[in-house]
Amino acid sequence: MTRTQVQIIERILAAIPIMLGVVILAFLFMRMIPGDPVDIMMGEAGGVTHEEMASLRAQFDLDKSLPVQLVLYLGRLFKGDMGYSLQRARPVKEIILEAVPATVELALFSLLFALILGIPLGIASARYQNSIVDRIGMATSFLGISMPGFWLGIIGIIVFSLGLGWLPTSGRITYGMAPKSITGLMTLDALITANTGALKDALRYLALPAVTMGAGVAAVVARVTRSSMLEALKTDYVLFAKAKGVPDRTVTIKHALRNALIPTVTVVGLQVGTLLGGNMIVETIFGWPGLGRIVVDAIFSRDYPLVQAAVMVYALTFVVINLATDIFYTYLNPKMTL
Amino acid sequence: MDAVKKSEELPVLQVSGLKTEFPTPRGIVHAVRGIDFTLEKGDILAIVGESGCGKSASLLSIMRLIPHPGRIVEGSIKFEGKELLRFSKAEMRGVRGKDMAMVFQDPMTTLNPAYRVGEQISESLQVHGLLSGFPKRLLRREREKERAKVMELLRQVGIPSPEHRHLEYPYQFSGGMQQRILIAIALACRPKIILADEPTTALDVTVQAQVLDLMQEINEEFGTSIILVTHDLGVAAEFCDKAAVMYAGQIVESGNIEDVLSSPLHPYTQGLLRSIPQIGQRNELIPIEGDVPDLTDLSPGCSFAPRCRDAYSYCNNIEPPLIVLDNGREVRCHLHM
Repeated sequence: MTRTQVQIIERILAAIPIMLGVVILAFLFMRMIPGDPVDIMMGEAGGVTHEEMASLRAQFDLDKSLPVQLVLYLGRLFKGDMGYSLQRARPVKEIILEAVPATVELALFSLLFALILGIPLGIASARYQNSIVDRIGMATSFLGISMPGFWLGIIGIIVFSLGLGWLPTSGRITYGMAPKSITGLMTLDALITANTGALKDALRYLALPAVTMGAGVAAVVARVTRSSMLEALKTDYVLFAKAKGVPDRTVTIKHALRNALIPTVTVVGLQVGTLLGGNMIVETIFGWPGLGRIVVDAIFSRDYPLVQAAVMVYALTFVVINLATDIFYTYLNPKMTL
Repeated sequence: MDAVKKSEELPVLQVSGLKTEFPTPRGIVHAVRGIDFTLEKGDILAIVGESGCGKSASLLSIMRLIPHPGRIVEGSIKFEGKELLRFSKAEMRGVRGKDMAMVFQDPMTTLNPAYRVGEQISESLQVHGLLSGFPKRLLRREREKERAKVMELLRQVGIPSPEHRHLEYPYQFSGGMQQRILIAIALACRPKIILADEPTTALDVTVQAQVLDLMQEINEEFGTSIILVTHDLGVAAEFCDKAAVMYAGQIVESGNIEDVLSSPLHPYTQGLLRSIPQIGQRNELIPIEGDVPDLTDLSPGCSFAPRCRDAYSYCNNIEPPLIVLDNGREVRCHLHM
């Protein structure tokens, strides 16, 4: 095994205590919020006796002391049992597994949009510093950073869905068009099953939310790429590459960009975490059946097991993304180690 | 090479009246102010001077690599009789690295940290069509050809066990080894001229000598002409045939290296020689008083006059012409009218 492989395994092992800490914190934080699930459920139902509430609490282990509850919870978790959603009366695992692909798909397309727009814009702005391209690009990106997602989303719906009627307002796919579920990502499943109709349909539903979420990321990526490219283009190795007779475009992409991407990768890594974890608002605006919406519901209904599981998924996402970012660093700069 | 044959051949490089300027917010920096020199095949020319006197700008001008917004304003750069200033961008790219190669001062920052050194060596060969580029280079036969060529170059510049080291990254080499790799890259396409910009400044003294020896070997073996930019007169004396002393963007004195060093004509050259220590002698070192002039705001006269111990009053007002003396010597000073 190479040194890098050993280091990757070490990093994965180091993630275990992190995950455990996150699980315990999520468990405690949820119980610090006043009112337990039974209060909320019965408050809505009305006319329930204290005895009935006590027996429900006993059923959910809520009558036991906190440490006992925690031990019981962790014990089940180690067996792979994430529990039962108190509000939805379904296994938490099922709910999460349904919602995660939707969130991942949206995040992936937002990221794709951000990178396809942001990186070339950053390169062009740096390459032609102070030109029209640079000025317009940076002014737009400033707008992109400043514009809140919910506002951009609503404007998008008003213009492209209600006004022009080009795109659907909400949802993931037209009813009955969904391809056979394999990975849970609509576009990927449509590709695998060669279902072009479903692919087109899914892309139409993705367009607005992906652009809404990706706009801010694209702006950040463009700005970071621009500034690190400006530096890279001034380096000796770029001048040396030109002195070797390497064509300008190759110099920019092969010699400058590869080195300039390190800060971009850092930013993208952080942004991916936000895309996967912080998209409750966009998911709500576009009625996207992802994890973000489920978490919001679950918190309001004190659905302890579901919130805890969702927090676990978020934490795992960050751990994985950080590791992926670090691995990518070593590819960009061979001198770095994990 | 005998004298008759040499006179028939065109000089490899002929620079005349070359002027390069950089517009800045403070005004125009006149970095190179009309330099002339000729480089014959196999010559080693030293361009000597303090930092900021236009040495590096001269080299970059010859390669037409002056960074934006700087530009060559006038003059002529003839490579084997062909005017480089009239070359298209694509034609110029064909010259860079192939006919004229550069070696920079700090190998640490000149090699790209992200690529293996073997890759960086073969790149110029690929660019100039001497090795197959992507995707053809992925073929086994081409890969082996590439490997053999890289190995040969690394061996030529004295890198031990090239079969392992060509796969390493720049940071895994010492400064001296990195400079050898730069020289290998410069050497790859067998250029007619190597332009070396302070190639030994960043190196230890013992390593300096090795790198200079290597360049001398290349000069002798392949007849490569070399322009060595340096601020170190010792290096110039040991290694070069001719010297051009630069001050404030002009060549103030040039000639055979022995002549220039043993009987310097220009007060600036004399001052430079007085200010370097000699081993075994306890002469007091005399620095040149004053500072290099501001290249945005030059006086109409001799730019060295304000620091010159021998200056006449008119030196400040009238620019001295280039005076051609016997034995190929030239000097730009009123004292030799």
